[in-house]
Amino acid sequence: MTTSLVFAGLVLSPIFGALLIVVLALNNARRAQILALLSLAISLGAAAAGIEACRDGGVLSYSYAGWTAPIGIEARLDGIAAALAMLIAALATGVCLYAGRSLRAELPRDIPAFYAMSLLLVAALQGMTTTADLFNLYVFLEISSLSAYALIAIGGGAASLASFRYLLIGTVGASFYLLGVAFLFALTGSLNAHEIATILQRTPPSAALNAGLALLTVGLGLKMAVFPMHGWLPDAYTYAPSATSALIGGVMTKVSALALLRVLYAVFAPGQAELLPAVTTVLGILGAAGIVFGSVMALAQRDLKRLLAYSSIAHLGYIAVGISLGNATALAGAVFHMLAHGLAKATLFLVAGGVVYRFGRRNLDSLAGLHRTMPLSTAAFVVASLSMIGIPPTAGFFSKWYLMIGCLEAGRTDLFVLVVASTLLSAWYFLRLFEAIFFVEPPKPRTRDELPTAMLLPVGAAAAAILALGLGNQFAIGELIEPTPLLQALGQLVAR
Amino acid sequence: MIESWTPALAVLTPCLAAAVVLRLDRMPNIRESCSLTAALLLFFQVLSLLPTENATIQTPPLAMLPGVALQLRVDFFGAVFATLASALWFVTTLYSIGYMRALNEHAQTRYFASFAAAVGATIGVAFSANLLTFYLFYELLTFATYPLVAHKETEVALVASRKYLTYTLGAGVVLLGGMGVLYAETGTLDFRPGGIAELESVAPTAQYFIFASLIIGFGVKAALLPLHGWLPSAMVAPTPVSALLHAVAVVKSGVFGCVRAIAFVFGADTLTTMGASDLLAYLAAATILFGSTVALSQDNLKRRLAYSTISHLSYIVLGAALLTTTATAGAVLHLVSHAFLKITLFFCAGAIYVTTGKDKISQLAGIGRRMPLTMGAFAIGSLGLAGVPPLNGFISKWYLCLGSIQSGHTPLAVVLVVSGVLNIAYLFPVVYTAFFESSDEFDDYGEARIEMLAPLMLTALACIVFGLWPDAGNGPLSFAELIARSVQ
Repeated sequence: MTTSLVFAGLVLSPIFGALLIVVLALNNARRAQILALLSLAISLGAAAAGIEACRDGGVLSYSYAGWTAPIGIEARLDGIAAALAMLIAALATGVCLYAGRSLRAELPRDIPAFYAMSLLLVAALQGMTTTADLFNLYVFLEISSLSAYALIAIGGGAASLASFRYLLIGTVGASFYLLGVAFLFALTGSLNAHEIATILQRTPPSAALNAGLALLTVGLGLKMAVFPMHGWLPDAYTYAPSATSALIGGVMTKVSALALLRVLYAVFAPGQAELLPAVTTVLGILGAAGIVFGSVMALAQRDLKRLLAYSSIAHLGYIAVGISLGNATALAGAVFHMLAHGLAKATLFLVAGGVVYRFGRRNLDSLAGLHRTMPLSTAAFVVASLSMIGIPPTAGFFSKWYLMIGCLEAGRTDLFVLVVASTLLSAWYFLRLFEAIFFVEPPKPRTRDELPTAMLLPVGAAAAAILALGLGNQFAIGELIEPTPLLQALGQLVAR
Repeated sequence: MIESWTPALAVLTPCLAAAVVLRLDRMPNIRESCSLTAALLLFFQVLSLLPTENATIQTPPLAMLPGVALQLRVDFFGAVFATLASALWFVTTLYSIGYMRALNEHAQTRYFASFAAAVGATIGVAFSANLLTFYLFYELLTFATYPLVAHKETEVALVASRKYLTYTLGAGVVLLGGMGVLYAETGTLDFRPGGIAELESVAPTAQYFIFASLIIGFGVKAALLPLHGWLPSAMVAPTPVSALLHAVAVVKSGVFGCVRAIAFVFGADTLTTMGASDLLAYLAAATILFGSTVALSQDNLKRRLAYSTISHLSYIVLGAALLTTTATAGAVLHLVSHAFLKITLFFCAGAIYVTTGKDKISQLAGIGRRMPLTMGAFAIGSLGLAGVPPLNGFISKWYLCLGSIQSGHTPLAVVLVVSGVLNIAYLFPVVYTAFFESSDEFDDYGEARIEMLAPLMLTALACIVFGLWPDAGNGPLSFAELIARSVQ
C-alpha cells in the first residue's frame, strides 16, 4: 500500500496537478501556482517516504494495475532513484515558488501553462527515474521532451528557435533509443530491464545486441547532452525563461544520465555485449573532451546564462566520465555529482533569473556590484560557485573526490589528472564572475534591493542544501547510493 | 585526548566577526571595536586550548569519507601557529585601523571582514587534524585573502589578484591530486606525529607522486622556488595585509603544511628511504639564496621585504627537511621568529608610506631623524633577520645551523651563514640611508600616528624579549623542542 502511494505521489500527483490546472486555472496564474505547489508537496512527501524506504539497500517495486512483468509495467525505486526523485521534487517545488514573480516579469502571457507544463515535465522525469520498463521509459522520455519544448518555447523570440532545435534533436535521440529497445525486445522478448538482464546472461553475443547497445547509448547520450551531442543545450538554456532554465538545467539531463547508467550496468553486464568496453571507453573520452570543451567555452562567454549552460556541458562530462569507469566508487561519484551539480546549477540559474528580474539584462556587466544590491542572493551564488569548483565542504567537492578515487581504482591516471586539473578551469570562469560582481564598479551606485521573499527563499534553500548535502554526504552516499543493489553488484566502494 | 567543541569555537570567532563586520558598514568605530574584541577573544581562546604533554583537545570527528572526518585537534605545533596568528591579528588590527583611516581607504568593511575571515581560516589550518580539514581551510584562506589582494581595484591590483588566485588555486588542485592518491593508497588522510606508517609499503612512484604533490601544493603558499611568483605581485595589497597575511598567516600556512607533510604524513623513516627530503632541503637552500640575492636589487621597500620573506620561509622548510630533532626545533622557532621580525619590518614600511607617501628605498634619505622610533624598530628587525644576537632570529638560526651540521649537510649551514650576510647587505642600506644620509625633504614629518607606532614598537620589543628569553611566556623554545621530539 505504501509502495503504491510512493509511486502515485511521485508520478501521478504532478500529472493530476497539470490536468487540474488545465481544467480549473488556465486563466488564473495565482491559482495555477497554488495547485502546482500542492501537487508538488505531495510529490515531496512521496520522495521523502521513498528515501526512508530505500535506506540501506531497500528497493520498492510496484506493478501498475497489478499486472506483473513481463506483461505489465514495473515501477522500481532504489536508493539512487530515491535520491534523484527527491532532487526533482525539491527543485521543482523551489522553481514553482520562484516562478510567481519571475515569470510575471518575463512572460507576457501563458503563465498558467508554464505550471501545467512544469508538472508534466516533473511527472515524466519522475517516471523515467522510477520505471523498470524500457519502453515505458521511452514514453516518459517523449513526454519530457515535449513538455520541455513547450517550457522553452514559452519564452518567445529566440527561445522558439532554440526549442525547435531541441525538439528535433530530442526526437532523434528518442528515436535512437526506441530502436535500441526494439533490438533488445527482438532478442529477449521482454521490455523489463531486470528480465532483459537475466535473459541476456544466457544470450550469446551478437551483432544485434551490439547494435541495440549502441543505439541506446547514442539516444540517451543525445538527451544527456554528452559532448559532441550537446548542440541543443546552450541556446535552450540561454533563451528559456529563467524558471525553465533552473528546472531543466537542474534535473533534466541528469535523469537521462541515470537512464544511461542503468542501461550500461543494470541491463547489460560486462562480457555480455562485445561492444560494451568500447562504448564505455568512448563515453569516457567524450566525457573528458566535454569537460575541457565546456569549461573553455564557458570562459569565452559574456552572457551569464550561456556561461552557465556551457558549464553544464562540462559537468555532464564529469558524470559521463564517472559512468564510463564503471566501478562502484566512480558510479557513486557520478550519481552524487548529479545531485550536487543539479542543486548548484539550479541555484546559479535562479540567481541569474534574479539578475534578469531586477536589471532586465543578463550579460556579465550587469553583475557589477551585485553584492550590494542582493547580498543574500550573492552569498547563495558564491556557495553554488564554490560547489561547482569543488571546494569543501560543499557537495561538489565530495562528488569530485569520489570520481577521483574512482579513476584511480580503475587505473585511469589520465582521467584522474583531468578531473583534478579541470578544477582550475572551472575556477577560472567562476573567478571572472566573482570579479564582475565584486570588483567592477556599477555605472550607477546601487542600493540594497534584494529579491522578493518568494524568489529568495528557493535560492537560499538550495544554497543551504548544497552545504547540507556536502556535510551529510556520508548519509547520501553511505546509506542511500552505495547500498543500492546496482552498485553492490559492482563491488565495494573505495577498494581498501 | 579530550573531546570538546572548543577548538571549533576558536575557528568560528573570527568567522563570526567577519559576518558582524559586514553588517556594520555604516558604523566604523563599532565595526573596528568588533574586530579588536574578536582578536582579543580569539587570543585567549587559543591560550585556553594549549595542550599539555598528556592532554590534547580535539573536536568530535564529523565523518565525511570512509575513514576520514572533519576534525580539529590542538597539538603543540598547531597551538604554536594559532597563538602566533591570533596574537599578531590583534596587533595588526590596531595597526590596520591607523593605516586604513590615515589613507582614507575605500571598502574598509570588506577589508576588515576579509581579514577576519582569513584569520579564521588560518586558525582552522593550524588546528586541522587531517589533510581533508586542512584542505578545506587552506582553500578558504585563498578565497578570504583574494579580496585583500584585489583591494585597490586598479588594473594592477586585479592582475595581481588573478595571478594570486591562479597560483594558489593551482596549488590546491595539485594538493587535491596528492590527497586523492594518498587516500587511495593508504585509506587515511590523518596527520600522525612521525608519519603514516602505511605509507612505507606504498609503491615508490606513488610515494614520490604524493610527496611532490603535497610539497607543490603547500610550496606555492610557502613561496618555494620556482613557485614564488605571486608573492612579490601580491605586495600591491595594503601594507597590513602584506604584514600579517603575506609574511605570517598565508605564507606560513604553506610552510606549516610543508612541515605537516614532512613530519606528520611521511615521517623521517619513509623520507630517508625515499631520499626525497635531501632534494627538498637543497631546493630550499636554492630558494634562500635566490630570495636574498634578488632582494638586493629591489628599490621598492615592500618588494625587497617580499623577496626576503621568500628566502626566510625556506629556512623553515629547510629545517623540516633535514629531519633531525635540532633542525626541526629550529624550523618551528624560525616560524615564530620570522613572524615577529618581518611583521615589524612591514609595519615600518607602512608607517613610512602613510606618513610620507614614499615606498622606494632611494627616497628615504634622512627619514630616520624624523621617525627615529620607526626606523629604530626597522633596525632591530633587520638585525634579527640577519641572525644577530641577542635577537630571536639568532636562536632559530643557531638551531638550524646546528641541525644542518648534525645531519651531515655542512654546505647547508654555509648557505645559512651566507644568507645572513646577504640579509645585512639588503636590509642595512635601508637603515643607513634613513639615518646617515641627509635630506631636508622630511622636515615637516614626524612619527606615524600612535595606532601604527605602538604595534610596531610592540613587535620589535617582542623580538628582543624572545631573543633574550627564548622561553618567555612558557614559550616557543620548549614548545619547539617538544614538537621536534614528538615527530622523531
